[in-house]
Amino acid sequence: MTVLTPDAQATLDPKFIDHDIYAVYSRVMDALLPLYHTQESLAQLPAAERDAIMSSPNYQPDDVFTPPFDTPLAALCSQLQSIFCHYSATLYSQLAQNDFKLEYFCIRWLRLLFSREFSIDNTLLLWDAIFLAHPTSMEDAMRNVAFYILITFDDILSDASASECLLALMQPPYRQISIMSVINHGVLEPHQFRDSLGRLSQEPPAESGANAATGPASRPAAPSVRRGFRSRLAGTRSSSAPAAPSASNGSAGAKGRSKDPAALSPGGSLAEGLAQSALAANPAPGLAAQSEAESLRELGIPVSTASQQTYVPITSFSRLGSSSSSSSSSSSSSSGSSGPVGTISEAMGLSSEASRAALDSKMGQLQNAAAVAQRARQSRGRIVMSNASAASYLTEEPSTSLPAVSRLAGRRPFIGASDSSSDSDFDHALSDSDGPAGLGQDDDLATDGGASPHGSPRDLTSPSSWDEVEVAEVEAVAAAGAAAAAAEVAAAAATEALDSCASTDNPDSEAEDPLAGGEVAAPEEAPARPSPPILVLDSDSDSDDPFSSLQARADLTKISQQHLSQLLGSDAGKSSTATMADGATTTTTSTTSTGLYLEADTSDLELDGLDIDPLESLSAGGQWTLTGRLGSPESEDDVDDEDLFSRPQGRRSLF
Amino acid sequence: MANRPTSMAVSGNNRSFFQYKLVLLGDSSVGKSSLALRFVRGQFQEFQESTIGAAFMTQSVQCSDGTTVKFEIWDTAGQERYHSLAPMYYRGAHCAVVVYDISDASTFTRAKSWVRELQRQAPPNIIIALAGNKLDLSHSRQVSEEEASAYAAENKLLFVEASAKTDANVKLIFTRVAEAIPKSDAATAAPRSQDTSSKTVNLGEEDNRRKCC
Repeated sequence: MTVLTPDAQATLDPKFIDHDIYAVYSRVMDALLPLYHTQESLAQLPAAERDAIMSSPNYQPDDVFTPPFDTPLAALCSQLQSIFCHYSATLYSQLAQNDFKLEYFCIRWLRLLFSREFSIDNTLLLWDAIFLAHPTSMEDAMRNVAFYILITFDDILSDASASECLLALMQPPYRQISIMSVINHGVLEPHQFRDSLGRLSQEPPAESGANAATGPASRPAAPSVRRGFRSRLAGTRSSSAPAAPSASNGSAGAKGRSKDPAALSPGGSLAEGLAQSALAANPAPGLAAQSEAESLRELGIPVSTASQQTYVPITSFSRLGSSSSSSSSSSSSSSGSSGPVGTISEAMGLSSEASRAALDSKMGQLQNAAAVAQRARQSRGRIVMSNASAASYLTEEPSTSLPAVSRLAGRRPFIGASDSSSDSDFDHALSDSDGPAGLGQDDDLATDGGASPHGSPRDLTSPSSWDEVEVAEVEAVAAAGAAAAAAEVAAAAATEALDSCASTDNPDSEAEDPLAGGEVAAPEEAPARPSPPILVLDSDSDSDDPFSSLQARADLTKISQQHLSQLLGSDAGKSSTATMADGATTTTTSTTSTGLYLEADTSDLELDGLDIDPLESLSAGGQWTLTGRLGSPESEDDVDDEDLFSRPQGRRSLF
Repeated sequence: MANRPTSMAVSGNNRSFFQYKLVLLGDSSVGKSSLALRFVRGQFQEFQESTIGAAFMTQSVQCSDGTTVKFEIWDTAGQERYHSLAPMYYRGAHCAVVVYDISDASTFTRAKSWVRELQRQAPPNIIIALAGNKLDLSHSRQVSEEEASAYAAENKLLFVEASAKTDANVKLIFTRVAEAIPKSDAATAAPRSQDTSSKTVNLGEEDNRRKCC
């Protein structure tokens, strides 16, 4: 069994979870910012800034006959419309006659980066893929993903009334869509996908008859058409070159950031390292899993249950930029084998092949983990993934659980001077709200759950254009990824505690006491009373998806109380209430005997952001348990797994 | 979907089935989505997610005269940032339900401005209902029923106080709108199917109105 390398340990150090959340969130929202602009908000911008946004190649008309767009959102919608018209002009005109506007649902798709369209797990997978494949500009991926989602509805679109089309499209999550198909055809190989569509449209009438306008009689051809291009795609997968990321310095999402690679890069080629380690270590499972899914789809088997949901996203967040010369040097020397320490410049330099290889490998890794969990679930309804097994799959191949998201995040929001691993220094830095490099912002972020439009002044060039709830929602997804990271970190620490906690007994007591494994020394920076963490995968026995109610419980004793208090935006010993700018808020605090929930509630004006359990459990036991789960904690037992994913029906508790 | 008030989807010659576009408007967090969800699915979510752009759903109601009215409900986002998108949703709407929160006076002010905007820019024959939501919070009421009722009467609005949480009067809102529309339809607007004479007349009226505004 491999133990995480020092780099990996440093990367996954739970001390930096909040940094990573902030960094990821900040970068994601930077990139999405243009889409939040309205004509009014654009008009209020300085002319130069406005021009910079609208002159971005991402928002240009497709042809000379189209007038310039009013807003970036309108531009993307129009470009999507062009793609869709190219796919089937008749279908589009038929829909347009019925007042069917892409804007109706694209607003949500694009502004929230598809995070309401899929379950939180799948959203993390999709985001990882987008960030890996398009580290500098997401617009291309967004268009292609939107297009792919749209045409998965083409049966409905062509057969049903506009009202039914809208009903289908405007009521996510889209459970019937395989996230792997979205990733493959929308992110990794969109051009091949569209090329295959184009070829099909030039084929004889039998197949082009799938075109909606020819009427219901021709509809049976459509599925075969889809299977057709899927098999083509499957045939060309491994050799084809994915779309080159459209790196654009003019992209509004990149403005205001330091783009000096030399300042960020620790040296070495992470891309190569990723590709080599991913391919050399375990080329088969990832690809096999993919092709298995592909073949399932070709057979017409709905992959949404057969394979898609057996992937579990372990989106972890690295310490970005590694930020210290010592770890930089070590990362450059070891990036070929472990590579978890990355920088944005490296991420930007990732070749598409490397991205795909890394993603494939990661998928394979996740698939393996899923298989382990599946087996465990078959033996008993409630899965308790032992420290040993959790740790083993996480450490087997550190580089493949490497987060894409983390490298997107590019830069630590905190000062490099606090690189010292000493807790006291770190805590000092945290408590120094006057710190120049974002400490106060981070505090705001935690307190408001990102709710305040002015909460994060550093990068918010246009605070008025930020939408409280949406912002928080996007952040919430990022935060969920960080929760998974916490679980990973905890599991990694467990590798040194295998003997004492390899045997897990009663699952119920396990759930109540995640520290049952006993005391062991955790790697590096171990606190006085370290305890082995445990990753609990909790599933109803009748569920198809062992991860649908994923509970990632991580013992975070390594995190000082002050640190977490800062993270959660609360005073020690008090429950925290996040209040929105307009004061209309409700507080929801969910308490368990074992720890705390962090809840990111995205309900309208009831956005309580991060609520935490009163800290008595912490001050009493000095133990922190971060509990991640999807769904409402109060009703978890009453709700089946599907409902836990069904976001429109209720709150979404991400932690 | 109908995209103009005059292209009301009326199926059958007996005119027993009508399909109308209804738009829910109002300030943020007054309960538009909750009302819609209660009406359409009979559910209530304590923590309803913020609407992004708009949500869309359909539900039918039976009117006392035996007709069935199917509403295509556009549940719009209340946040101010979406204000500029509102015309996209109320364009072509046959009816609008303007929602406010009885425990928050500012939302009533906002509702009034929505009513003004609709009277100015929405299709001329649009039926507007004023709905005071969160009746379950009447102990912290800030908008009296009399005040709202008087305002509604003055502006020829339907008026209902309701609670999506307790399901009080929710269906009543939509039923009253449904009952109001066909009459209004017969009197002024023109259905797609027949009555060409009244259609001609009404189009003229519409044109006149546009000119004066």
